[in-house]
Amino acid sequence: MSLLKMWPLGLVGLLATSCIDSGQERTSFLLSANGSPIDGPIAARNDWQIELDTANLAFGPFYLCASRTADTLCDIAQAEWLDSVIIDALNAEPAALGEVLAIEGTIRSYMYDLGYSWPNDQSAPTATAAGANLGASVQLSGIAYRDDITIPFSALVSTASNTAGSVTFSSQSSYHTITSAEPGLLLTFDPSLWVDDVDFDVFLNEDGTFTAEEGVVFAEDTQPYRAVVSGLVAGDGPLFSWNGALAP
Amino acid sequence: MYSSNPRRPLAASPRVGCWRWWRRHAGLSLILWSALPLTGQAQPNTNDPSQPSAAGPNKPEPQSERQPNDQAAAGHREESPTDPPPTVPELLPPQILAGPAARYPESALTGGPLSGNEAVVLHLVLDPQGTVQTAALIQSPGPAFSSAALEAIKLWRFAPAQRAGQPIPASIHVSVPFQLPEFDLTTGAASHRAPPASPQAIPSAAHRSPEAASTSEPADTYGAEAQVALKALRTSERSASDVAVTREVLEAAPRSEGAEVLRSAPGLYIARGEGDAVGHKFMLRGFDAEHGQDLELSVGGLPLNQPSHLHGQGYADLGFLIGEVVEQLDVKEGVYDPAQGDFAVAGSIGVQLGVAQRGITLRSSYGSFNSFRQLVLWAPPAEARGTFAAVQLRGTDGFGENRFARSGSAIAQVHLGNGRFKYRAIGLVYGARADMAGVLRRSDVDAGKVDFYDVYDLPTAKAQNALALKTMVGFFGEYRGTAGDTGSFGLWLGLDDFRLQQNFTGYNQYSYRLLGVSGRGDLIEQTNHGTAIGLQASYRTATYQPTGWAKARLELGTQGRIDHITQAQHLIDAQRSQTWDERVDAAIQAVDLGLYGDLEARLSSYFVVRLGARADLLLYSVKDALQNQIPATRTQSFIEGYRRSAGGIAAGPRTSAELRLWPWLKLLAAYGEGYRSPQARTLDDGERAPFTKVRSADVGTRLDFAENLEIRLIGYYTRLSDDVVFEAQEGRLERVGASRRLGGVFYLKAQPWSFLIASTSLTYVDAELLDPPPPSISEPDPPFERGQNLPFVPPLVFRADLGSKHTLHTGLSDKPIRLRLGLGCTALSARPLPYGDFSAPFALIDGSLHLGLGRFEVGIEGFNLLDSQYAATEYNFVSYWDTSAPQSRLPQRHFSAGAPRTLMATLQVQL
Repeated sequence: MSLLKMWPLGLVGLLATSCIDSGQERTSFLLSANGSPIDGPIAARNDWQIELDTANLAFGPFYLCASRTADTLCDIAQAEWLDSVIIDALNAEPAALGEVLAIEGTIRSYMYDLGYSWPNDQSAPTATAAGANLGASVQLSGIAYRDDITIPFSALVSTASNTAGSVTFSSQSSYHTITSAEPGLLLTFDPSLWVDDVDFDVFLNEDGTFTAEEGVVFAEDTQPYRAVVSGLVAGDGPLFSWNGALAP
Repeated sequence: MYSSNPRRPLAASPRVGCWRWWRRHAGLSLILWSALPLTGQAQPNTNDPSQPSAAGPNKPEPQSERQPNDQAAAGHREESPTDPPPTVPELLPPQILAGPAARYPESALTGGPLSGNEAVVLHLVLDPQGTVQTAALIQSPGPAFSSAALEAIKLWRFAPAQRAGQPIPASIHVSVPFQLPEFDLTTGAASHRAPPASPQAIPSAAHRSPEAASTSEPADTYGAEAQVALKALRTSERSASDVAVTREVLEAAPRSEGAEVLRSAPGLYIARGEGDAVGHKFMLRGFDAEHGQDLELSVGGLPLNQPSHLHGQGYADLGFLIGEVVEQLDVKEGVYDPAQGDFAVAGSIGVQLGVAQRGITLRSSYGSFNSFRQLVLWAPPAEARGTFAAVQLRGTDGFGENRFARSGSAIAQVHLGNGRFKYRAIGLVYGARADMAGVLRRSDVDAGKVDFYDVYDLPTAKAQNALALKTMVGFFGEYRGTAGDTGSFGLWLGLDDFRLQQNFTGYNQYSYRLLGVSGRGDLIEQTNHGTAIGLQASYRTATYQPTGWAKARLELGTQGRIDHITQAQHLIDAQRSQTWDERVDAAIQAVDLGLYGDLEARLSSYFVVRLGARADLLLYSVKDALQNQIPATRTQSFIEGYRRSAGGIAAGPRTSAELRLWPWLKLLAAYGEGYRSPQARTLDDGERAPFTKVRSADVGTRLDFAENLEIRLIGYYTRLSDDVVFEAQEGRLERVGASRRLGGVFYLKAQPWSFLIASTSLTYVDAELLDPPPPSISEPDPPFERGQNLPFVPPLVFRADLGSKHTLHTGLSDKPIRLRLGLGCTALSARPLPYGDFSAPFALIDGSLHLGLGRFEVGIEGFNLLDSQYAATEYNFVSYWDTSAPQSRLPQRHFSAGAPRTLMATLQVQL
């Protein structure tokens, strides 16, 4: 825009903008994520112990809401991060995800998608960029053992919202007031919550032995698969640390 | 620089000094005039204004013996009462062939101690055809009289001065008389003889009307037969914020459409963000009046605001307005006049219609974006200026995608009667259909996903359009009693049809009626059909004068209307042409019956107080077929629908006081309480109609430093009991609680020379929310906070109009070239938006150049000459347009683009 066009705008803007109060203020803060350090095996159903080798999560988009519950009451978010990324939930080292755009105010809930989003105008969920790369919502592998039986396993578990326009995971309350001086938010995911309800008994023979030495894969419509889905969408979400985040 | 006494005689008038200075030093047109004499002969240059002209000032003289500077000098010298009458026997002075009466200024009726027999003396320069080339003020009782006289003189026709039988240029002085009518009780005729003009002022020009000429009245008879048209029956100025924007200002700057004349009202911003078939958006003095919810609008006495309109409470569409027939805007900012009714929250604007240029006018315009306009205007020469018929057709391919539009309107008005009773009939027809580009998300434009002036490449976006049909007729009458009492009545009928398809939010909506259906495009279809009939009447008593220094008049008035409205709102799947949700299906009957009283007491010539009050009875019957909607997931246990009625009375005082300290200085203070009626569908059964109450106070001063300089300084305070702001998700207005505005207005109108008019205003307002809605479950952190500025409202609004008219003698033709230049500037400061955003400030500059020769005139008009990319309207809300990307749930800035630089060429023929 030429100077000729700029001068009236500049003059008027100078006169007026300094004395306008529009209420809430726009802000932004950095978002990062890491996994929980897991000391020892994870206790699962029926005394199975699990050691995870892989726990990758397709995460995002991520919304912070002013309402006490998210989902249908979060048509207007207080903050959002619209990207998606694969998080190594076994790595305690925080990874920078990017910038969250926000409006100052109190958040009381949050929600996010896990590899799949269901846009309002689509007839079925579609994969996010991270979901497409991972091929699922979460990728798990490891071993489960009880007594002298060891079961190598792997899983590609996918889950999505069951309603167009809504988001896969909706949280319980999470109070925090976003200010313009927000240092950042660190999300810490605990993969033990995703597998602790898996019952590996389903992979045993009728006599209680295990013969599939090459390992098992969680198939859809099986208890392990449903247990992981439940752990992803019905369990607790990540831990929130508002005291800082990594620079991207 | 300016005389403080509007009656000061010429010899002592500093303003005339300015005029002379301009003649000598500044006038390009006059330089050309001198350089290109009609006769082609060299002319002496007498710059010394004190030197008497060789030709007597009132004596027609050959062009070869005169030049403009001489005329100026002559004009000065003509004030001498000892000037002899014409003595050159071979010269014949110009004769008045037609001298339509000047309109008695409305403001003067209440302005102060005037005699009622005023006159304005003008110095005219006539060309050899007898056409008035220039008119300069010599003496005037006040600016209102000056304006009226200068306007009237345009219509005067002269037989040219002659020498040896050949027409020659001439300069003369004429007196334009003003006189209140003296009714002939036997005939009711308002005709009267104007007072004789000063012999020394017009010794050579017989001032005769055509009637006088036709009856062989002696040519040396001074004075004129005049028909004085009194338009004002009652006080118009109640506060310093009441402004009459006259024709000279309205025609100074170019207007891209008729409704843009409203831009010259102080503090008013109008925009057309929804295409050519949807009403304008108004902002005035800190009010986001949307489509008229806070601004009472009328044209020719026909009320335009439509109560409970689906697209916006008080919806008023001015798309039919034809700029050429607008004579004056009566702007009343604030609510201090008891005659102001529903929607007069920020104020009222009454558009008066009339045509000064009589005859047949054909005007064609063509320009950018394949835009065209054709106007046919007929104003019978022998009739009053209020009698005319005009038809216009407009069209454009649009300044971006999906902006194709066609519209047409016709307005006709006839003045009837000439006695104690005068009548006026008016009718209008209007139709428009336009595609709409709707709103764009600013981040999408910044990312290059869509061009600033285009539309989203989606069926649901490209299906946006609107249709408007309107017809109104009215019959109005005025009564002037022999004792000075006055009365008026009016009856009007209006039919409106409105259909809109508009998508604000993309793909966010769900169906309430069909389970699991969503995302078929948020294309909202709104239909609103309205039929309204109304009446109005008022009576004002004769003056009661109990003492020598006190006078009083009482006015009683009533206004009533009945509206029948049917309205519906659906969601449309543009791709399949299917309706996929129903939101509104309602029928409304509404009655508004207002009664007011107004006592005006003049306590000496210096102090006037007006005490008034108004009460309005509002009744509603609502049949809402979709209320109590049963969700698709539930079994029906009742029948959908909700019928109810509600009613209440809104009442409040309207008072003002005026102190005239000097003839040039008035102090005015006013307080009033007005109301805005509720949207009927929001009412519950038996509810006492929760009217929005507005309390308005205004203190200001009006200064008339000289005949043609008017300055106003105003401070105002307004408190609204229940404000609303636009909510895009449902395309409706939502309550945001009480609010207040504190602001000031500077207004200046100047006409330092007869060829130059300037008007400018600067309005500042601090508009704050006082009591925003508390947190709720669905909105625990509401976007509005106590003390924040009201969204969408610009704190600063600036407007300037500048117009100049010149006459050039080129020597290429025996007819002079008429030159008109115009400039308009509108600027808005940044506007606060919800959720912590701001819209950008902008400034628009329009300009025009017209050249006329004889009956023809060509011109070019430019709008937004700086080609500013600006948002005509801007919002902040959540939308979802690009469904291939993750859905943003943060409110984003959305805007509807204002027009880029637009050039229009015009050709006008006057028949």
